[in-house]
Amino acid sequence: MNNLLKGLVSRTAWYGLFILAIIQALGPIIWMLIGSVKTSSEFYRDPWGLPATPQLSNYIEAMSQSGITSGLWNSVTVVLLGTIILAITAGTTAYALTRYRFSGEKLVFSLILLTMMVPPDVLIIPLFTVLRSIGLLGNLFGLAFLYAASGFGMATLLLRGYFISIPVELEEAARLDGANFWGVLRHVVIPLSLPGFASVLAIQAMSMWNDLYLAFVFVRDPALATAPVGLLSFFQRDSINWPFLLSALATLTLPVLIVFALLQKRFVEGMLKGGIK
Amino acid sequence: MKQITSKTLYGPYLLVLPGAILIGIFLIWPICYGIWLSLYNFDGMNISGEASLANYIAVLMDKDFQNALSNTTIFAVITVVGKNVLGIALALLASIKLPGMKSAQLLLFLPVTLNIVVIGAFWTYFLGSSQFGGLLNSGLEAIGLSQYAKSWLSTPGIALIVLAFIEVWRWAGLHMLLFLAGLQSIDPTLYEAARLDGAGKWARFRHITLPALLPIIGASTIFALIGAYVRSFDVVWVLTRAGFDTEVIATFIYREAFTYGRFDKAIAAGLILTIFLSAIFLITRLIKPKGGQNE
Repeated sequence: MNNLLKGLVSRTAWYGLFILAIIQALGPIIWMLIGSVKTSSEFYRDPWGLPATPQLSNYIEAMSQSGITSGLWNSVTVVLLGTIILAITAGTTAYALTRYRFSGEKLVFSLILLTMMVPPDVLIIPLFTVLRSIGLLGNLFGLAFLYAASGFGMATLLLRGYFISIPVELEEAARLDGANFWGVLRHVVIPLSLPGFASVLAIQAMSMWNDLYLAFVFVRDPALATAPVGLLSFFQRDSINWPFLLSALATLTLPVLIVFALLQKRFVEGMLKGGIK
Repeated sequence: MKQITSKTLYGPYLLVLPGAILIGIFLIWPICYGIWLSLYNFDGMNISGEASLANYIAVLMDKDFQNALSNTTIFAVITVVGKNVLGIALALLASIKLPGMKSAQLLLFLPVTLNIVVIGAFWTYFLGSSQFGGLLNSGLEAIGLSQYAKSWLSTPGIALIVLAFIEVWRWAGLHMLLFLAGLQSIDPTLYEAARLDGAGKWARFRHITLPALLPIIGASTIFALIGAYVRSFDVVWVLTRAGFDTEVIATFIYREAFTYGRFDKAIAAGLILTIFLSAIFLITRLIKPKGGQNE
């Protein structure tokens, strides 16, 4: 009986701690979602309580602001571009490093290491002048290339990990059946590494989507600002329409949460592998 | 492992080419160009003067840089300790075998996926004046500690610490996952043997768990250092706009270049940071073989 009671108490205590941990993690998200469907006066009266009736119209109102829709649109564009550039460059490099021995391989590896040692964050001023001299300063193309370059090292190493797990025999069999290089890629390599490929790209796309710093420094034109940069200027105003801001922020957050919910374990796994290396 | 050695039209060099171009333009060129530029006077447009190390000396002697460096170091110390301690605590909590714990691990990771503007909006509100519903200050007032209520993000000496706490909170889920992976690699029979030898909970933690987690503590520390020295612009800028008390190296670099037009000094400061970071990286590479981690 005593043991049973002790077990019950410790169990309750652990769950209690765990609930606290969950609250600290989810609190801001829940606050944002609830706040995003309040009326302004409700928000000021009771910023932490529930609304009488959820105001979904806040979202419609936020979306009708050209600044916010264009920000989201710019974000989508730059993330798509950046992800495509990254998929091509990291994919081909990773494949070469998996299936070929060539002189210069070591050099490629040390360059990959270098990309992880020197993130663009410390190079912003030289990057600024380089981008200006090739005409990529202040536009979304330049930003997309920067994002791809900053994710390149980690993505290549992770993708190599997935490619290595594909048996060479499968590729050779396809080759014997008359498939050329692209055929092997299309019918063997890409399908077999797709889950890994998708998770690597999803993680990179998330950090592009969430980036503030590079977008803030390199794209100064308000018409081309990405959503986080645009919303930052809303946020740093003296008078903030909170429900309105929160519904815009929720719109920015929901796609990430959906992708995370879909990929879950895989996403986390990729993040860990990328982190440990 | 087996490699394809047959000569194809699409040789490895052709495959490496797109990546090489990307890295060449967006990493190698800026590094080399930056090193060269840092030796001259450069206002963003015109290059002038004789090659010298004057910019580096000017940065190191600059009171604002020294202030930013010391702020960044305080920020780094708090976040390194905080991320490790909170990461281990959350990992221990999340590894307790009770129903429902597994799926809850993913929930604890969620703050990592949040945009910095969302984080900024929440903490600005949470830490704000009680008049406008700032939860921390109203809580303090409710329990009779109103003398401790303050504007947390603009009080000198406090704001930087608060920023470090927010940074720890933001990344705790990632560090938890790192430590969870470490915990799972510990052989459970070790604990059993220690228990039979009469080792208590704390002794088991000290002599089994902690030594096994050492390589992870190393990795987690590097993350935290990079977070503090390189990636701290957004959290500082969004929450405080980087006043004197919360100026970090990243915001110093930004201000030197884009507010004062001293591009030469900004580049030199960035390169000093790069050298510092590379040193950390190389040191850990040299220590690593002992841990036995392989690619």
